[in-house]
Amino acid sequence: MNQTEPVVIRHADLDDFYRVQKFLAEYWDDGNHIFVRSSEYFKYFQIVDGCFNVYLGEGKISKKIYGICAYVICNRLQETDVQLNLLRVIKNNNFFDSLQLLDYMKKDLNCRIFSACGVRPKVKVIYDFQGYYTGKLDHYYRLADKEEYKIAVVKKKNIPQIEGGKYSLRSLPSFEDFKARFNTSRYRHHKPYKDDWCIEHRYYKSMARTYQVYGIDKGKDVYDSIIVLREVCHNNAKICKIVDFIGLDEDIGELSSEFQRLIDENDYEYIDFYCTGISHSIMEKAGFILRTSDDENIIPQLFEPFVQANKDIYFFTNDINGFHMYRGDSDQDRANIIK
Amino acid sequence: MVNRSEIMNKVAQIFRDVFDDKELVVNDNTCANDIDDWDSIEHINLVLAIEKEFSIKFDMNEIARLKSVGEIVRAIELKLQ
Repeated sequence: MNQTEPVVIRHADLDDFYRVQKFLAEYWDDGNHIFVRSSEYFKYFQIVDGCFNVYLGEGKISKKIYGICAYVICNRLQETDVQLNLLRVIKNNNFFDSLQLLDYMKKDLNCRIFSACGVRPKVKVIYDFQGYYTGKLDHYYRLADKEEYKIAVVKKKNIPQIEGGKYSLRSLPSFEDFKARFNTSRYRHHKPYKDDWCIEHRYYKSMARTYQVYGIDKGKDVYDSIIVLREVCHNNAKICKIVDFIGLDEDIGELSSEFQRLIDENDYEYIDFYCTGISHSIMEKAGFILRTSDDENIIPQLFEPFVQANKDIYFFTNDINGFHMYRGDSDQDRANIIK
Repeated sequence: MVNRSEIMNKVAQIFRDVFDDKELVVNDNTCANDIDDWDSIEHINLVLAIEKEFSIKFDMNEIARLKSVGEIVRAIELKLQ
């Protein structure tokens, strides 16, 4: 803390990889971050086309790293959409702070959508201060009708009797299937826009997770919408998380029977969905209940390690108009254990 | 016109509120080295509380220069002139 020196902010190079990893080891979660424990996973997340997607602030003289901010991209357009997934600035005498790092990043990246999913409540003030929109993802859930729950805590078995829905889900097991049936570029105006590369990288080539990508079948050859799910097993029980969605919001409202079929066929305790941008009426039509702050039920979010508690997920964005965000964004569905 | 002493008293109370420490005593020389929890996030919380209390605004460059209580008080004085 004694040294005072100018701090230089810059985009990290590949040569900085192990220095940044060492910084995380020293200053994040007692060195227990998965990016410290697995270099391969860190590379999977942060290196795209040979570019190490991290900004850092380092002392001009000492070269000591005082702060880092990592990001993921949603598409490979020149003016891309960026989601932050790590931000840490250590206390320093130079009054180099997160504001300067974020401000530099935003200008340097020249991105269209600048956002993050999983903002810590304490840090939210930074984004508020910079004039970004901050909020909390809505957490919807649909319970199975069971005698006993081993993952959720159900004090009030609130299960809406909603059946029907015109559409069905069709599995897209390979990326080739996905490309043949869904055109991501049709949604280039979406905020953020996730292109083929993003879907393949996040869900078909995930290093640590198994995802199921489904098309929403309306009887046409090409799907208007896709939905991404991840099954989680714990304590001899299973649940299903909706982690992503691209398409026409109203299509979700026509899947009530399909969600019930998934619950019944797979013996899920519940399906849940963290989201912003999808209207409450659509989610109600799909048979989901919004978890409110006074909800007595517990619908766990954390499984590595398992924490039987409700958890809110906060986000920020530079443009809330038409903005959609889900659990699969930033690093909110990142593994904490590589099996 | 608020005088320096009044500004100092209000700033000291803001520090006690932000750091949730009723016993906290600050002077012109107090800086981040002297308060463990004074990191970049709490710095913003301090600035937000000061902006609200005095109905003033700081830009990002000004915020970065507020390295001690004395500098904060001086910056407030200048804004209120």
